[in-house]
Amino acid sequence: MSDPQLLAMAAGGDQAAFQILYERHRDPVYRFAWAMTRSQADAEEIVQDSFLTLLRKAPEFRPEAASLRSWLLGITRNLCCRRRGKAAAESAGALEEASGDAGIEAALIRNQTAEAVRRAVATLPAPQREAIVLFEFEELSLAETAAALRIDPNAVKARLHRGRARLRSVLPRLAPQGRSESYE
Amino acid sequence: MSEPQRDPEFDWMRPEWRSTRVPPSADAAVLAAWQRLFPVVRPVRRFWLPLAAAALAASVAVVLLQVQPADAEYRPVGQPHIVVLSQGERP
Repeated sequence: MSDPQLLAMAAGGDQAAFQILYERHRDPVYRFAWAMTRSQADAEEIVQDSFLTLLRKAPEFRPEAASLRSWLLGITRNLCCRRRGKAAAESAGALEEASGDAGIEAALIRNQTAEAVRRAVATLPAPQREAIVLFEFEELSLAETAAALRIDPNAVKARLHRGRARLRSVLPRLAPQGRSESYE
Repeated sequence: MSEPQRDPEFDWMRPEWRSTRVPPSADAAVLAAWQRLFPVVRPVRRFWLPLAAAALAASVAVVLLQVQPADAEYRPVGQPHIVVLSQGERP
């Protein structure tokens, strides 16, 4: 069953349809929220709020304009921006501490590559980070990424270009054993 | 507009990135939020059907009670009386 059909049923109170929709999209939404907030607790709350907002806004969804995933990730992005604004006002230092180079090295020493990748992504400025995460890691198309971020596709390309260059600078340290030579 | 290609240098990072999954605690919270949004509707029919059946049974009982006293007045005739009509004495 297609996403638009499931959304219509879920918005009408069909729990089974909601469950399928949730299981289909929860992980990309969670990872994106985590990348943008750098907090597991915040990401969990944002996942919940994203799906509830999705149900409330279901009548506004236009399948011909965007895929459900890019629309949902757009909702997630808005919620992250609101929360990030609040968090930045409360304490900017804590966020920076979590994403520093020392964190990446420590994760590599512990042989936690996934953790090191997350930390490397977290070093990117927010506009580059959201473009890299959606396009490179969640494999949305350029149009879907632009729709989720509500920016022009050319702006996505520019962010991808800068984000890749920046991420490449930490790649030699991140790359698994035996691959690092090719990045040097 | 040409579709940009994904950077092959990031290929090995993709599975690492995707190894992060929603924790079960988040699943439970989402389900609870769903149930607050769409509370379970009380099964009204299950409540009304037995009540309707009980009302019907009571009505039938009342009708039967009204019928029984009338029946009680009925007296069976019992054995038929044989009336022997006298033909008079023979001379």
